[in-house]
Amino acid sequence: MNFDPKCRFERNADSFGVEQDGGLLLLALETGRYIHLNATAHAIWQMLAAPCSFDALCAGLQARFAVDATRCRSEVSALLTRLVDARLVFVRACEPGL
Amino acid sequence: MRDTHRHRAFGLTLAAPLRLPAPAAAADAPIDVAITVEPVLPPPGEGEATRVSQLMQIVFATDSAILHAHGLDFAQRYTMRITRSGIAVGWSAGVEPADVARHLVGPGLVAQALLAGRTCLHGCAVQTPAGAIVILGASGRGKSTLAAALVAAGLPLIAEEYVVIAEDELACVPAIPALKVSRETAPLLGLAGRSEPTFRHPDFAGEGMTVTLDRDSFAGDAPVPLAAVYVLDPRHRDTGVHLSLPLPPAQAAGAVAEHTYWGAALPPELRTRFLRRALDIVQHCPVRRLAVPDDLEALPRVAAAIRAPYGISR
Repeated sequence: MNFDPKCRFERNADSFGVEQDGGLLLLALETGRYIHLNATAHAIWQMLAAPCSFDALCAGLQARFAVDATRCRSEVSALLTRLVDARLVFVRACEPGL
Repeated sequence: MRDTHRHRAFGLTLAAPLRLPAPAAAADAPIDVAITVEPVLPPPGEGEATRVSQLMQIVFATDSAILHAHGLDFAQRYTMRITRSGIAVGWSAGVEPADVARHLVGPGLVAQALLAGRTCLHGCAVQTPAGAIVILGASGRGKSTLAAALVAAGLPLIAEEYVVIAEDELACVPAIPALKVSRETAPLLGLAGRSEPTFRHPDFAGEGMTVTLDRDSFAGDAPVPLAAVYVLDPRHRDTGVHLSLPLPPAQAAGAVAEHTYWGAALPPELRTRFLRRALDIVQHCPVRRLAVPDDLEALPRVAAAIRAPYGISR
C-alpha cells in the first residue's frame, strides 16, 4: 500500500502486547486478532508510541538498522498495512507542512 | 430449614442445601460460595440470552449471570442466578435435584469463576511431573475420551470440559474428581465399575456416563502450573498420532482464545480479560496441534505418546 508521506500513524490505544521470541506479540482488543512482530517490526511499534509520519518511521529505522532506503520503505509500508488492517494502527488526517 | 452440605470444587468451599457430586469439605471450612434455593426464574426475553448449548442459555453482566436450562419441550426448567459469592438455584416440578446439582458443579461454577476474575478454557487437563497438560478442542473432537485414556494411563485428572485458570498465577484449578465418557468408552478403559449416567433426565441422556475418580486419579486441591497446551484437530482415519511443532505465537494465541469457554456470550470486559490471558498462556508454554485416530482401540497408544516426554512409565 502507498501511504501519503504527510500522514501520521498512531497506535490504537485499545491494544496490548507482551515480549515473545525476541519480538512482540500484540493483541488488537477491538478485533480480537493477534499479530507477532519480529525485532525490526517491534522497533517500528516502539516509534509509534507517539504519532509518527511514514518518512519519520523510515528515518528512525535506518538510523537503527543497516538497511537501504528502498527496502526500508517497502518493509515499513508492508508492516503498516498489516497493522492498519488489524486496527492496531490508525492513519490520521494528513497535515500540511509535515 | 434444609441441611447444609459443604463441598470442595474448583478450589472453593461450597455450602449448599442439596448434596453436590463433589468431595466433602471440613464442616468448619470458610465458605467461598453459598448456594441457596429460590423459585425458578421466568424464561429470558427475546434476544436477552445467548444460547450456549442445545438445552442451556446464559445472560451475562459484568458482576452477575443467569443460567437457564430446560428440557427439550421447555416444560421442565431450572435457573441459576450467579454472583461472585453465591448461586441461587430454582427448578420447576419434575426436575431431578441431582441434575441441578450436577450442573451446579459444572456451568454454575464456571460462571462464578468468570465473574470472580478467573478464565476458563473449553478442554480438559491432566497432571504430569512437569505440570498441567491442557487439551483444547471443539465439541466432538474427543477431549473427554482422551482425558479418560490419560487418567487410565496414570496421569491424574485436573479438570474435564471446564479448565479454569487461576486469577493470580498461570495454573489450572482442579475441578472435581469426575470425568464424563461415552457408554462405549467407559468399559474399554476399565472405568465402567465406577460410572453412572451423568444426568437422570432423559433429555440429557446424550451427556453419557460420569466416572467418579478415586483420590490417586485426581490432582487434589492446589492449582497446577501450566506446562503445555494441545489443540485437538478433527479425528482422522489413519493410525498415527500427529503432534505439530509449537505453533507461532500469534497462531497459538488465536487457538487458545478460540477455545475460551462461552467466549461469544461474555460481556466485553470479561472477553478482554480472556484475550489478554491467551497472551500470558502462549508466553509461558508451548501450544501444539494434536491429531489422533478415530479409533477407541488406539487410545492407549495416544496416551503413551502424550505421556512419553514426561518419562512416565506406567
